[in-house]
Amino acid sequence: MSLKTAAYQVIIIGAGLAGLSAAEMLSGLGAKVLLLDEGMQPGGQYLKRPLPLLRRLATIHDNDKMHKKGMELLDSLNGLELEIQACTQVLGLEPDSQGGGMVWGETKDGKLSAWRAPHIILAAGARERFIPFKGWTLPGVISTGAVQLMLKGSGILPADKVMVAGCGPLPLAVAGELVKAGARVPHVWDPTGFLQKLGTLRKGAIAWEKAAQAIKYQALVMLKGGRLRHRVAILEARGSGQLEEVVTVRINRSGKPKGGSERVIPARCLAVGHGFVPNIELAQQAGCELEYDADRGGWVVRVDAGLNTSLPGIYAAGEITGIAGAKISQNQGCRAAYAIVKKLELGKVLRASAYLDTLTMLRKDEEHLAVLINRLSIPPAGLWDLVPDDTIICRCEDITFGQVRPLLNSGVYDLSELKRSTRAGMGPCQGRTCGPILEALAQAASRGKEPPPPLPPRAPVKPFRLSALLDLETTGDKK
Amino acid sequence: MSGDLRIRGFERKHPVHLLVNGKPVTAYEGETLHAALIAAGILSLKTSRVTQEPRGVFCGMGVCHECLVTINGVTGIRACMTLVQDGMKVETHEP
Repeated sequence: MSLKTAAYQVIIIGAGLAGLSAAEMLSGLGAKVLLLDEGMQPGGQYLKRPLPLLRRLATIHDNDKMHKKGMELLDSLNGLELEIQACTQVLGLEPDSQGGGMVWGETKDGKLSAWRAPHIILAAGARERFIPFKGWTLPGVISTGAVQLMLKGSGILPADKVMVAGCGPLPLAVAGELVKAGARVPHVWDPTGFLQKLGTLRKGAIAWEKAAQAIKYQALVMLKGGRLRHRVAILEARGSGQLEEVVTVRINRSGKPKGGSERVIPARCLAVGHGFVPNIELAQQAGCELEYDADRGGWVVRVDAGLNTSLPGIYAAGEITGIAGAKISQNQGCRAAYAIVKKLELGKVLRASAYLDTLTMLRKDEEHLAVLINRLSIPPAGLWDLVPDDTIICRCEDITFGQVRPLLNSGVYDLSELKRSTRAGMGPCQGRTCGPILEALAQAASRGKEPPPPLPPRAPVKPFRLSALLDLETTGDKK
Repeated sequence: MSGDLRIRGFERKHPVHLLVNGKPVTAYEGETLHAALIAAGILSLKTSRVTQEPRGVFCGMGVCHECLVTINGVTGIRACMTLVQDGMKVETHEP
């Protein structure tokens, strides 16, 4: 007995910029393509917009060149014979030795489905990275990404007054967007140093372009009376039932706190984020090889120049090959699609090639910039020493650092073993939040050059309802 | 006390009426449930498994499972991945 599968030429998982770009090219050239996405509508996090799409609001919906291009891309899908399944949670990928394989998941109607194709593009994007602090589980402490998506998707502020903390490009951008949307942002705290940021300007025009954006956001925050401070970390979030106050501390270059510099600030809402983590779980479950590169956001899916993973007919594009932003995601989506166009001999390879020429060329400096931004997203290592034993590491299972620390001290750095011993990573998020935290803690404890390999995910890679199993359409012998 | 958290100038469609823990909450078509709950001042959504502490919206993108609520009797639904619907009955802090 096996799941009844629908056959396609290409299955694309993830409808962000990478997946959309690939879908547009392949479908435009006549391939039978299925595009699967977890979100309520295609576009991923980058192109988040209200549903149903009403008028875009200039103050909260970006209108720069890349966003315009993304919106055009979405528009162009309407004219294609492309099958898009939104609200679909992909749960597993069984590779086929001939290439590609079978993808299965829970669809919008809560049923399990399976699809098969000789070519599969994985474009699952990224999530946020967090450094835990005492009280980070209190309602009112929210991720910077969550704030941005609420603004763009629902037009709702998380609070009328929001503190923002963290590093990488998102916190300052979110602070600026909050101010534009009418919120007050009294404080933005960044654990990294200002000089570190200035150093990136040596990398040329593209870095200046990004710096100009950052300065614009900073100016917005400051014009409304907000302050941006570097080398400040969150020590604790306090409150009874929900956030009431935040304790900050000044830190030095390596993350060591300066005694007596603690400040207690009343707050109902604190947005936090420390860069991004690639969503490699599905690729990992399928058996794609990974590699570690801190400059690309940590553990990423290994691809060759043609974006092939280590498995035949399975490609990876966008943030799962390394955190590098919208432009590179779009570019990789197109390049993965082009590799398939050639293999499928769609008879229009020349047209595809001409099309490829019109793409934004992958600029070397764009890659340099991605490296710099990833470096700015890594908070000083000493911040990990600030995490007290009673801080929750695994939010799903309420596992504290104190429960993990003895194991780390006795030389257990293997994440699977840490998981088995403590239950950290066993909850419904399946280690997506605590996994990167455990990696960093284990790396710090082992003083290793790189962290231990990530937790090995198994199918189903996300939770689903058992009721979905009840009305399966199957083929073959029913035993 | 916070004022209206709905951003001015953001075009909204029809109002929809929810019942959250038996109390009426007005939201607008197209809004995600987690955002509508925050706008209604409801921050605490579930009780953590072991320490029984309140939890609320965290990742806002379907990853962390901290915003699990019961919708029309079905437990364990991510509020951040659900659009509001007229007549929706939402319960927070259910096992």
